[in-house]
Amino acid sequence: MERGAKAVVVILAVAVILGTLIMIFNPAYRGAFAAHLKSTPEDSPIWKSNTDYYPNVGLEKQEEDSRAK
Amino acid sequence: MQSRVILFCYAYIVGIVLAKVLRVDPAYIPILNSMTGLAGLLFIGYLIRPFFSRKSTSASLAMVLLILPALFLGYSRYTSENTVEDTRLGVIQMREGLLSYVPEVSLPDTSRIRFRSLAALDDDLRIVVKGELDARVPVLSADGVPQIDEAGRWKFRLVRLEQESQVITLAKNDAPGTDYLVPQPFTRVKKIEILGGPSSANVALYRVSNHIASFIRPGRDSTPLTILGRITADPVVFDFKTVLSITPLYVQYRTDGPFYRVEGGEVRATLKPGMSGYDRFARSDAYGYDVVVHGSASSARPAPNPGGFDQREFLRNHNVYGSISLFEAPGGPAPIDIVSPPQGAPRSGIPLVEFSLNLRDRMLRVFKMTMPYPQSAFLGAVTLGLRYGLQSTVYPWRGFGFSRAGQDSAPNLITDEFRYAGVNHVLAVSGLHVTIITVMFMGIFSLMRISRRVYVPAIILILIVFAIITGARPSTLRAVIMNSLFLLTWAYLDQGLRSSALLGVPVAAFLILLQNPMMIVDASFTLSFGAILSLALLTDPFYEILSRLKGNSFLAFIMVVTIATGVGIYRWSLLVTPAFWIPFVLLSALLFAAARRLTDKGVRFFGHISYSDVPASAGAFVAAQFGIQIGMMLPLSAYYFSRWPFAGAYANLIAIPLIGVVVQLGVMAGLIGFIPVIGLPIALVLNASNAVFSAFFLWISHVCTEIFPYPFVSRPSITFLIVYYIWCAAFIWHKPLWSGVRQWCEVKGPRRLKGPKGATVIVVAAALLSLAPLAFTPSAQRDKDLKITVLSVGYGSSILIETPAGKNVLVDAGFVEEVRGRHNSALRTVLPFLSYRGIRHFDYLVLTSPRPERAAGISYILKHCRVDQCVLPPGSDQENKWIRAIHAVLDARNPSLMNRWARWDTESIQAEPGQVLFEEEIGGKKLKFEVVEIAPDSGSVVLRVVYGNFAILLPSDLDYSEVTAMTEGLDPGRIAADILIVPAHGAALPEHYRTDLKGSVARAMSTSFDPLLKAVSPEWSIFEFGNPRPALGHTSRDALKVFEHTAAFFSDRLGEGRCLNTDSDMAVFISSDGASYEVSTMAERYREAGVFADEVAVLEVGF
Repeated sequence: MERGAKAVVVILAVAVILGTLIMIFNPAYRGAFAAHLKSTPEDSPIWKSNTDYYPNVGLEKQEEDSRAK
Repeated sequence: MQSRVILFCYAYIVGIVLAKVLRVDPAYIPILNSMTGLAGLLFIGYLIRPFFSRKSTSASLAMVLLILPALFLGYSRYTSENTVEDTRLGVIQMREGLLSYVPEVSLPDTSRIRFRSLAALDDDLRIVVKGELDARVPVLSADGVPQIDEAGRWKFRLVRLEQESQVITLAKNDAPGTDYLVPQPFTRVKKIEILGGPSSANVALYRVSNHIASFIRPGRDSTPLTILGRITADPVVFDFKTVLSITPLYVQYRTDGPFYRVEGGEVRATLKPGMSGYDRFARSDAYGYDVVVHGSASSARPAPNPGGFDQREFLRNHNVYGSISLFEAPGGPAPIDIVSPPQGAPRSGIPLVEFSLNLRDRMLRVFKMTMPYPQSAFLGAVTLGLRYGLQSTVYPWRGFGFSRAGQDSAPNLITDEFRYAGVNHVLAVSGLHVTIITVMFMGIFSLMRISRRVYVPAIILILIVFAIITGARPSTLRAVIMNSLFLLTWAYLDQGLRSSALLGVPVAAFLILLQNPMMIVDASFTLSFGAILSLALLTDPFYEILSRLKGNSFLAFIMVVTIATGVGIYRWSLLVTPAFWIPFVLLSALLFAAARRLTDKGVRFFGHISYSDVPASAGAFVAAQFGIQIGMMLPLSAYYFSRWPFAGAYANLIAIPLIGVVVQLGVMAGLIGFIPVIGLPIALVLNASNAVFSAFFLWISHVCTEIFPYPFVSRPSITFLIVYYIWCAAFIWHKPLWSGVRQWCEVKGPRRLKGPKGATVIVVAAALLSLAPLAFTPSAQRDKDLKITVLSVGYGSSILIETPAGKNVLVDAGFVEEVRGRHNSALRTVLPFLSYRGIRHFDYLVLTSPRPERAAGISYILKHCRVDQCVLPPGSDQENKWIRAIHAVLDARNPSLMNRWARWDTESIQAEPGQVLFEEEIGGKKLKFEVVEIAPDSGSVVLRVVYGNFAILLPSDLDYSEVTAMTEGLDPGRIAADILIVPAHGAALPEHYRTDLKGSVARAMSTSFDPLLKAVSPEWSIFEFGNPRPALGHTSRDALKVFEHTAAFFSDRLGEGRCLNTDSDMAVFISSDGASYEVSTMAERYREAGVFADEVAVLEVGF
């Protein structure tokens, strides 16, 4: 299974390099990272783009609020 | 041992197939079960015999003892699962000169009962049943909701009542086997009182099974039910509804009736946003809740047209027997309530399932936080099985693709594009995904230096969780079972992949079919096993063939494939024409001959490059793609979907490796995202790159959709598939078969067949013999009758006419609703029906009206079928978008050289009054297809087909004044017909319908339709009707009322049974030999097959 292990390592390495570049240059990802740093994930443009996608799965904070209701 | 297990599993599958093909009367099920038990005992005896006797059993006897129980088990398992069996309670027969009831079994629970006469009666038999009813009445909470106890048992109080049925009369004229339902339920039958009757009788009393199917009416009717049950699957959440799978435990058929204990089956309930408590149901937490449901249940209708998708059978294969529509009046009670045990939270489901669903929701949350839409929906679909998130999403990035003239322009939903591009399997979460997950975790554990014997159980657990998360579909289950077997044999028995695959396939199939034998016909089951068998068996032979390609031959091969691909892309129609294949085969032979000649002369364009120079994994991957296309996609896609995704062979070369990366990164990001503080930033980085890969995948499918065609192909018959797979098997095992035949010729063959020539003769003879069954398929045996099929296409029209001389004519092509892209009669009904009938060519395609319910589908037919002549109404309005679409396709079907070569040119003809489109003469009987009249205002073309003594009139969309004008203006002999298709679906809105609908319809009937019926004097009328809302919008309610009045008028004039409509009667089939004619319907066929048996509908179950 050495090939499987090698594939995982290669995929991770490529993903980290490409992902870092995207984080730097893509405004949506920059915004998402900033929202995470500010602990306001609901302001993340990425989260906002997913509002209508499985709306039943919300942020942890929202889930707790809805359960409390 | 391994070979015996494999044999047993395959014998079980054969048993199921036999049960499917050769059905047995349900009455024989107990005998069948006994025989299965006996065969099983003999098998056990064979297994333990060596402990008691030293004599060895002969190999053939051992084989019989192994196969027989498996065959019986498969047969009885399928038959029992497919039958809701009623129990015989006793019999009424003559004893000592008196008719008396002889009980055999008592009722196990509150039940419904019925009598069945087993022999003809010489007089009416009148019976009264006396007994008791223990009526279950739920214990209600203060707010009126039924209660459960701590263990989740529903609380009832029993009310014991004396029960006496009404008088049941078994009429003497009724045929033996007639059922007579007793309208009252019983818990105990004490006495059967015979009030009077024949001199002898043989009548049995049966208990009707309390299976949920027996409480739900078939077809359009709905049954009001109250169900006490449990949500037993993860809710399916859409943005506009949530669907719950509910296992009913108790059901109440009438509000004043008792509750019955349900003995099997599930129902689906649909909730709309805004209903009380909607948010509590539209989430995974709802799995396991106990619920009380009030609603109207109905079972899905079977396919209304031959070859259509049978939703009823599909749902039944998944144990679903009805759908419940929930309705909540404003301020009224909630139609569904969650019931909790006293002082507790609602109960939950199986802990492992709860854990898996919770894990899925948490991973989905990470995806939503780290990946933009629609890539997040794509990732959710391929890693978590949440494919509904993509269902109404359109490909978002315009301007990157290419455009393909003539491609269906309307939908372009991402899910449609996946189907067109042949990469839809990535959404099905199949063996590919399971293998990716397996290899990924094997890699991770290897990196951590953990022994395989330690991590294999962990990976199997992960795979089980993955299967639960993704909905445990047959394809996933198959892969999980197979991969688990592979891991176990690899870790603990040191066996390789091939031997575990040979064992894993039958064992996985056996286990899935043991749990649910109905899966044998499920597309996901068949496609999944078809794919894995193709991979396992066809990859090597193709690899071997491809490996022989060297130097110039390899180049010639690439050229041949490129030419075929280019022609397919440029003009698919050419690829299915002999006019192309004959020169193409010659050209290919020429290319290979030239390649060999040049090689012999020492000319090598690319040196010694060969297929075997390609890296082994890539070479095997391409060979596997050949195997998948030949073994699975080509035959099974045609069989199940009537289409072949041409792009799949190419798109998957990129899509499969790409999906490996997307799934691995997605799963890693999803799991890393759980780590506090650092998890989400890392997941954000990983999914940033994964968003690019996902977008690339969506782009690939989009581009392939636009470049490649997605053609309809003739649907193969089962006989054809059997022959096809015999040839595949011969290809796979050609070497041992060839050497076996040669050996036989040498050793045992007659003198003339000695040597290789003899073997060749035998092989060619066997090949020809294997084709013989194809001569007996229905499509090969076209009879000499005129056949007319009026299709059920909702509120629309499409009629296929097949003449005795072999001409095919299609009149109109149904409605298309472009707004939501969901209602497309041409693509979803007419073309699949034509594929089923093997019709891909029309002599005439006739449009009788520019109205969308007739015209909208025409351009789709033109895009997918060869049409010689297209007949259009005169002065077709170019403002009408459907007419514009037709002209756009017709312009591309000009008589250019290429079109004529592909026989893809279409002549456009304008209809004229009195025009005879064609005439035939068969056996002295004339067939004439003519345009009788054209209405100047609506542009409707009235057609009439006459064959000998038979005639049918198709008046299209004539309104009332046009009907009057036609009746008054034409000689009755020109419109006389045996069958009349009712004009304008019988729903044309008369003048002043808004103020006085009933009166205006009555006037229209007397002034227009009454003279029409007198002039035509038909024996039958056919309404092409269905839900008018998509076509008519706000006037649909009025149209429905007009239709009801018109149908009543026609029934009154022609007799009730002579007035058919394509909604309730489904497709209508007419055949005539020119002297007489026959009319039958699809609904009739279902009734004869027992599909519409409706028992509970007549019950008045009260107490």
